[in-house]
Amino acid sequence: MSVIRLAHRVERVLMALYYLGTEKTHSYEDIVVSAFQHFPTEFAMRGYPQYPDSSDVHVPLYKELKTAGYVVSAPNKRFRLTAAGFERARLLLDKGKPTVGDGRGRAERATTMELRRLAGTEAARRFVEGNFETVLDTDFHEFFGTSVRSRGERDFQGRLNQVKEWIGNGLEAGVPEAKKLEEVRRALLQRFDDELVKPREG
Amino acid sequence: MVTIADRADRVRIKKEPPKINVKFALDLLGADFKGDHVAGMAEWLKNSADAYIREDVADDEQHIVIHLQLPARKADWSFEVIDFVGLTYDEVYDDLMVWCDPNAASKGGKFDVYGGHGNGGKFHMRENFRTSVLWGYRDGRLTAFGFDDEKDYGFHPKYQATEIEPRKAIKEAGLDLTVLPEAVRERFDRGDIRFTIVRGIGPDPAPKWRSWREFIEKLQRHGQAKQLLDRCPVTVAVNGKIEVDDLDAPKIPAKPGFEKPIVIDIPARLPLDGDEVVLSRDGTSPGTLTLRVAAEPFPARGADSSLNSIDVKGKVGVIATYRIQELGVSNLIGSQFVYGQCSCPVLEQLGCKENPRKRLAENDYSVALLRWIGDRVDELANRLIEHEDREKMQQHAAVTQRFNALLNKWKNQFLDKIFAEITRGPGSGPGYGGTGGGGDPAGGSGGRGGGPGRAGEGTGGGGSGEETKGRVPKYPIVLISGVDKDPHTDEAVVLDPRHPVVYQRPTDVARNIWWINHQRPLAERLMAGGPTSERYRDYLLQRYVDILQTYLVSQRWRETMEPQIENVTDWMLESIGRVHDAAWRDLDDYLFGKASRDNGTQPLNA
Repeated sequence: MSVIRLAHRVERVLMALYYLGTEKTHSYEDIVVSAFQHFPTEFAMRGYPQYPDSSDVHVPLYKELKTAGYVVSAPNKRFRLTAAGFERARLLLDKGKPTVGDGRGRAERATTMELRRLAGTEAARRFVEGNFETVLDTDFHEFFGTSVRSRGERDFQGRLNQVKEWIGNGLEAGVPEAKKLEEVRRALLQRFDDELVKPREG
Repeated sequence: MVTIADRADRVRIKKEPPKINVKFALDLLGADFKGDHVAGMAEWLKNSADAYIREDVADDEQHIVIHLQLPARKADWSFEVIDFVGLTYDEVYDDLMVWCDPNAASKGGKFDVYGGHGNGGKFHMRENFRTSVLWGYRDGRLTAFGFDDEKDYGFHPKYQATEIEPRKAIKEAGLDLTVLPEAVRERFDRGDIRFTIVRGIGPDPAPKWRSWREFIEKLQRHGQAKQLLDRCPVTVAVNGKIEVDDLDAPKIPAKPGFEKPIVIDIPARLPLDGDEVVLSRDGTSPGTLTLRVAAEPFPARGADSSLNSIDVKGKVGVIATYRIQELGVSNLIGSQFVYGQCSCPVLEQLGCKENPRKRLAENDYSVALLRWIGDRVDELANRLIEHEDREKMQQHAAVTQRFNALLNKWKNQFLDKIFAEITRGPGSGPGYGGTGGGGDPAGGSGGRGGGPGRAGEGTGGGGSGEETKGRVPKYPIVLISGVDKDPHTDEAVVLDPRHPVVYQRPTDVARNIWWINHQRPLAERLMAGGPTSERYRDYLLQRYVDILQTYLVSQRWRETMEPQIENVTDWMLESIGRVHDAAWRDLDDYLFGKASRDNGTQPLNA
């Protein structure tokens, strides 16, 4: 499976969020406590092993996990695991276990659903029909699940990475439409690099 | 070999003078003049003008009087044209009595005059009145010449260059001194008494016009008379009373943007059905086409309809007039504004001039020229329509901008009230800029409840946060694509019809600018009906509802700990209700009345 490389500590923060539950948002404090409870030696305050250290959670959560598209932030300093984050957490749990089934079966349900969504987007449709020159910025946003009003480059970059990962997973799993979707993805990034991507990279 | 020249049956003749039934021939020729009193009056005016030209009188001293005597019975009406040159017996005998002499008016080409074939005035006398008479008084001698009720003509037995006192001449000729222009009266007072009166008595057929004004209006617009009226002082008197001191051709205001006439050189060669006709052998342009554009389209009916025409001018005067629609133009709407003149003296040599001077004689030259004129009119008409469209769009844009300014003001007042309701405690900026983006670092300082946000986090800029103060508007600025320009680059912003109804480019987000997409098909359709239409105004308002709803829902989202989809749909409905209530309360003029009545030109309250 195609995955983004994560540092060990970052993986731990992801798991801390996973253990809290995937259906709703969680406060920063909840995540700090969860990380401490599940990985006490790594997230304890120096010199005070009985207390959690919130500073070790902050950077992985805000930087790596958001940029990877595994976590999205909600108002009031709350966070939620994305479908990709959920899959990555499951992968970490299953590490070392042998995989079974055919190519499509190996792709998780979320990946399949996401690839289906991508295949149905206006950008993909126009690409297949040979009308890619008519694609608009709004088609870019539809494809990547972004918005011109996406707040912060990390959320935006997270979505881009997430889509890349979905398609990568599809390619590995031999999903037929994945190859075409990768072409669409590359074409969109090339087309809107100056207009939409680079400005957000600062 | 016997050539044709040697053949015995080659035509050899002893020439005989043509024999002709003169009266029948005149009836035949006169048929073209029958019944058109306006054209006939124009002919008489031209004859008077020509008399002045031959005397080398300055234009502003070429006084001509039209005197209509209109008693109750039409059979007793008489029409007069009076000039103050004074026709002599010799002129009548040598020139006027000769029919079909193209040199009559110009005295053998010595003068550039309006007259052409030397027939028009005489035929008007002969064909359109029961009887008619021409009085001339000059050098103390009075001459009278006329047509009787059998259309025969001749001199008055008593007045053939008869010496007579001026006072008696005036009385005999029936000259009404009360209709003379001031300058002529002064001349008469000085003893310089000369005059020519051409008078038709008992118009036959009787004119169909309802009042003399209708007749004069038609004369003003007649191709043969227009140019002359502008050049000579022509007085109109009715029943002994001066009604118009100086009759001119109608002044046609020019369409803004088309104030200058368009002058086009006529090519020396013109195409005609795959071949070409040569108007000028030396390759020089044989004349010019001058086109003008009226501010308003000419009507299809009525006196002014005749102005929507091209006068074709020969050496001096107009030799034909064509309504624009007679020129085979395809742009019928644009061409309704067009009129002008084609000056092409060579046409007279090319056999294009006809006796009544209504149409050109049909030959290859005239056909080719008229087609060429039609094409030029079409080109101008097309330009005009493009200009009209632009103008209309500009007018629509101006009204739309007014409405949009009103709605922007109202939207800000609305948001002020909303924020006043939710503001809690000091240092609490509304933080609504979240939907406006602005990047992670800016968001923290703009957040509700005060306190700086962490780097890389926050609720977005564009609100009232400290960091963005003075640069990003507190509330969204709503602009209309295709109408408004980007306020920073001053460039036109035209969106794609597929862009959302309300749209932001990346560059707009940080500036909190929102565009209503006027390129959407429904927006274009509604705009075509005019920006003051109820449907369009409602459409514009609904886009504000969209934006305000986005704002309000975003704000509620940020306020809520665990927002669910049900919450979002509830917020949407609730926010629409609030916006609608505010619109109902504040936008009565805009929604229900004043705006549509005054075409959006009056101030509205919000």
